[in-house]
Amino acid sequence: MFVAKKVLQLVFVLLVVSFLTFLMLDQLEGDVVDVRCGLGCSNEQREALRSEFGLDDPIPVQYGRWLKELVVDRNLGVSGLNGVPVSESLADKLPVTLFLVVYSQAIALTVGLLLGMSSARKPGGLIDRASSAIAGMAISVPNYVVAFVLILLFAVTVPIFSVTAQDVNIEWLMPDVPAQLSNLGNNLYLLLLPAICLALAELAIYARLLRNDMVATLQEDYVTMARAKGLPPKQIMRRHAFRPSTFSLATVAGINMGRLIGGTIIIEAIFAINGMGLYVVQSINQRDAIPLQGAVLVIATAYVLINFLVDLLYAFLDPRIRHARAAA
Amino acid sequence: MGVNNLAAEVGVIEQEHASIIGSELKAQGDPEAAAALAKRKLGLPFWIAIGFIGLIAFLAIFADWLPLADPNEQPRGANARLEQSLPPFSYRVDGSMAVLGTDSLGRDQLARVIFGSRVALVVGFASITIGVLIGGSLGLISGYFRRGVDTATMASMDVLLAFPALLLALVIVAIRGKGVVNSTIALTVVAIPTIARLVRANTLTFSQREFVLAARTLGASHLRVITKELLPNVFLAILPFIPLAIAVAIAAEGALAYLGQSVEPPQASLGGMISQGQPQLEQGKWWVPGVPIFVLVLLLISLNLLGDRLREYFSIKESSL
Repeated sequence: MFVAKKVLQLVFVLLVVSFLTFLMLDQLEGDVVDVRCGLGCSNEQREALRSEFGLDDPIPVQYGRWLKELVVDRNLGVSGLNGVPVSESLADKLPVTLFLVVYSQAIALTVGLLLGMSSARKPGGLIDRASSAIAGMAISVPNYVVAFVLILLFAVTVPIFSVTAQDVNIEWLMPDVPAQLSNLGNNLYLLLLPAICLALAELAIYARLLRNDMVATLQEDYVTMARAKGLPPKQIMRRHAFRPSTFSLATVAGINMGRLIGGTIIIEAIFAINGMGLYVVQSINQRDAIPLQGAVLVIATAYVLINFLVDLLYAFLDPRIRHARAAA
Repeated sequence: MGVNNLAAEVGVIEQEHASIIGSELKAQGDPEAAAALAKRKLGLPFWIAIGFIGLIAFLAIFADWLPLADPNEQPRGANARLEQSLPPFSYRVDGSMAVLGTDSLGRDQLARVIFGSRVALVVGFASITIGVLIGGSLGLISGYFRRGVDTATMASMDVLLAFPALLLALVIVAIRGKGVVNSTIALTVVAIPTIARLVRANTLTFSQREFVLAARTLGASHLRVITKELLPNVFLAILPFIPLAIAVAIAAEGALAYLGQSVEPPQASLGGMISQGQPQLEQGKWWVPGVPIFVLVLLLISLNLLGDRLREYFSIKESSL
């Protein structure tokens, strides 16, 4: 019942999102015809191109055709500029962005957990206050500023990293394991600075969340009980307090995963990473509406789907949610 | 000018709120707590932050009348190359000092950073002001009436939230064209859903309180309950978030400008200056993008500090009650 309702909601939201995406980019001035023609088209040629692309039909008809193409043929159209199918470009770029997102989340979660746990051990102590101050800074400074500082420190002053990461190459099917590993290592190295830029604000939030939840958990009776039994504090932190405290952390991390797929735009632009974000920016600069439409749709759909999964997971982990909503 | 209005508003509401809380406590016969409340202070960092924001706002407002170099003027002639990417406090060929240095085209960084801050402040303040007006109304109405209105409003907000903020802003600017007005519109649209949700959540809690019930029982109309009973309370509750939201909007304007989607060059914007300075950074001339970054970061940290302090100041839970 709960799942069915959620799925229905999901389908509805996806339809609205796709319609909005279609509508927004239909408004993009300078459509395919302008891109194809440049300045050298007569009016008749323009009309011919317009009807070829079906731009004369009413909007709902155009949307219906677009949606049918998308769902039935998995076809997102071709770039008006160079004729490359959008789905092909996206298949190249999406893995790069996903790699970057997962990488930065891995950094954010690892460091965030360490910071959060050590702050929770002594609330108000030195580590707690220091990490709270750093978190405040990390949240208020935008990631592109962090990028500039990191470039200055680690790519210019001490040139151990490269300024751009355009050589990232995500290959899933490599013939042999060593080649795969060295490729992975190279990607991890190239994307380290961009991943840190994205991770910094996230890890500050994670550390805060975990710290607050953990401080609350540590006041529970069963923790007092464990203490009274004489268990060492380390074991209490790890085995008793940690898991019940990671609840909201897991939710937020899940949602962030979806949000970050579109949130990497500026970092990709700074480091010239060949992912979804750079693709969006290039499509906008070239006023190429169809690739932009495809990219926006994929990003928004990914976000909605991940939120849906997080919702389900949340309900699965916490029966109260499932029943509260079913009863309402 | 948006700056002055908001500052004045903040001041008035602060006084009103202090008196409201004070009288409530006196009514409960707890003079000690009232005294503790009166003793609460905003602290020195708060006033430094206000001072910095005020200074930047002053410079931005009166930039046209200040003795600044022309922000778009490039040096010409044989010596032009000597005046490019100068560090702060260095002299131009004609002996005048470029206080914050020059950019890669030899333009005066001080003038550009002031005119760039003007864009950032106008877009940041205007988008959040309009966003609070529209998103706040939506949140108040759906939180008060609930049921169908609420479901419909929040569903449409959720749809807007399905697009990552920067992506949505980029697409709106791409559709409408570059410029201050369109950046403001884009960031307003991005801000509305978050503000609407925040206001709705606060309205939900306040509308279950006794004073709302009392007003309704006395025969007050829905409009009166919303504007006279709920609005003042809800506005105070979300007030600390306004500086934070402005900071987010300014950072987003910087991102748009970095991607070349804010004002048209050669007009200066902080993000545009940062973007133009990136090649200089890579050559080790870090001060070229460093100047706009420094101003931007100070502005953002000040706004965040302002919001945090206001939240603590207004939060009864965190005070010594």
